[in-house]
Amino acid sequence: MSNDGRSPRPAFAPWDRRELPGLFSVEESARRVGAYSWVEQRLFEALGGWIATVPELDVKLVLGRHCYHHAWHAEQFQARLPELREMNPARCTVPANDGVAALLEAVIEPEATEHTIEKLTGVFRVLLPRKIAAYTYHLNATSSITDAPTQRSLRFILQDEFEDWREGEMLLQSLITTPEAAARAAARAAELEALAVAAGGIAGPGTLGASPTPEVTP
Amino acid sequence: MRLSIVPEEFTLVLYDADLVRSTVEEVAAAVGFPDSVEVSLEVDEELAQPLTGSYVDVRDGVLHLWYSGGNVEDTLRARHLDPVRARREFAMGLLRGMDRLDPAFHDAPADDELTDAQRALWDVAAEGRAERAGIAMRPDRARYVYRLACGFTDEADAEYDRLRGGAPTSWADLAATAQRLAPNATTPRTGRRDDLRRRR
Amino acid sequence: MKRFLPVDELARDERFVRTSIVAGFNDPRNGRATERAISSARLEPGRAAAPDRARALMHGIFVGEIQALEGAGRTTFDFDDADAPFALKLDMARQCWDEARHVEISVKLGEHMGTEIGEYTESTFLYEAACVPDPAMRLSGVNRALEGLAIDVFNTMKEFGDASGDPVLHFCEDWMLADEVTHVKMGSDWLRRLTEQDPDRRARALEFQRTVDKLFSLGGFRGETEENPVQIARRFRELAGFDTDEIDEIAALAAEALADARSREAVAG
Ligand SMILES: [Fe+2]
Ligand SMILES: [Fe+2]
Repeated sequence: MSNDGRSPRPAFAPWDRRELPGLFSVEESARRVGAYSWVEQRLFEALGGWIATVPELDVKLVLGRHCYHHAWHAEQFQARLPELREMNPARCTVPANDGVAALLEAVIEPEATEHTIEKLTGVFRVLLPRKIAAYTYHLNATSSITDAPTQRSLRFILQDEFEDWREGEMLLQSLITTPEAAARAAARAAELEALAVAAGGIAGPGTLGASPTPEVTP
Repeated sequence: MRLSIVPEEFTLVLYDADLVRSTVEEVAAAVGFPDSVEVSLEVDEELAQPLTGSYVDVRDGVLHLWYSGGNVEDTLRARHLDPVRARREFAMGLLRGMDRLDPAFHDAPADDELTDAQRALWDVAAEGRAERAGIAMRPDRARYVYRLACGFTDEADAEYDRLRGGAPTSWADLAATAQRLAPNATTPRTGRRDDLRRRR
Repeated sequence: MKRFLPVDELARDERFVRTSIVAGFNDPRNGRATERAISSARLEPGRAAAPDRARALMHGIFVGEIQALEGAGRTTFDFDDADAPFALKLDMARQCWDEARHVEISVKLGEHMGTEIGEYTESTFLYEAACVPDPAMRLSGVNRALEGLAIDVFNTMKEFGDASGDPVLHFCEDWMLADEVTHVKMGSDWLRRLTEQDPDRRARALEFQRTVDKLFSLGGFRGETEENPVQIARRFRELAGFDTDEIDEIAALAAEALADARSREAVAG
């Protein structure tokens, strides 16, 4: 076979297994991206606000670094919205429902200097795992051809989320050194998880797809 | 130990002259300072940290120690004496005084005629001995002062380790070492450094 | 968490000891050092007490970086999107990361220079400037006045590193200077954008900037003469967008502050 560039080749190389179908319409992808952006914005603001309230020097510095990561995530999502036909990104940058708003309000609520464990538990044991789950679902469910720009952003963002989650979890493990502290973290996580469950995830019900219908045996 | 302290009473700072005296006496015993030598100590209370400086000279058999008040000041409580810093500073002064009483250092110039590098090398040797005498020193601090004077080089660091480790030394050795390091010393200065004692 | 965190609620571990700037005003030793035959107050390796002066300044930079981090962080949180648009908060979040790196650099430099965290006291008036309720004033007081001061301080330290052949100090200060120039530019940019339609607000913000500039020239700390430890870094300030008139004004404020200090000392005898 000649290699002169004139022989026809398929548009999709044999190893390129991307599929056209996706579960999301343009509107649904935009709705989710707007909801993610709202969460990222509230999160980076909270991390920024907390810096002055935590006495642990290493935690201060990590919050400073992560604050920018989440702001950058919000920027990625904001930039994507007009490409998804949402010419007024602010209209779409809203909590998925009142439950998500309540969850974020509860995550942000602690302020006292002695509440570092409560602050970090909310972020690293509840919110970041929820975000990782939601973004991974979006990545896997949307069309890898039509919504590829969102996927690309999600991949970069997920990389940050994984690394930030690991760093935050390590900070938490280093701060949780007594059974009492472990109980505090567990109670805090349970309280916030209940709110996350009530919200249906950070993008509302269906964050991870439709609930599977139980099989009915005749 | 015959020890005179100037001033007899501090008025600008809250240093206790009795505490200064007992600290010098305690440190003198720790470093093995000879009882027979008369010591005249001046702490210049007009000067505050971080404007630090000290001079050690022997005149007519009397050891003269001069310190900026800043050398022994508590960095967290202005005008208060820091007994830990005072121990370090007095130990260094007494040890360098013992050197000056030793014939191996008789031809050393007065402190205000030493170059930064010569003074830094001498201080390093004294620091090592103070530490071995049980005085808790600040090697991180000493190394930076030394590097500023003698250079941020491996060669200078090797001399630091040698002298701090207790290698026998003399004025001739210190002067020759300073000479050897001079091409790479980062502040090659032959002139006198500012003398905090002199008034305009 | 509430909006607007007062300075006395800043969280610190037990190593940090706070002091107020006015505490030093009543020290009877003030001004006595100027009677000594010290050739220059500039921070230079050959000058009296250079290692201790450089170390003390380094610790001051370290706590200043913590407060700059905290101040930028609060600006991401304290305001509604209407008062501080997302793009402004994004810049502040970026500054948080930069200031966190500056704290890290300062800790490493402190070790290099032989200080320990908490070896010197912390005065918190940098954060206090970051407590004003108007974002335009915050941006002018913090990003233009204080970050501008950071340019002067870092350049002074960089020159100290050059003169002493300290490759670590030179390297670090040069990198931090790049960030601070960026932060000053952010301040100038946002001051202009936020006050585009409101000349009175812009005037108030610039007045606040002058107040902060004067405060940080206190006692002749910063200026352009041999009597000032920290020198005004004209070239880097120009890079950051200050014009010659603005730099001249800061130099004049600094000269005024030095004259004030000298007359205070004369009165105190
Ligand atoms: Fe900074
Ligand atoms: Fe900055």
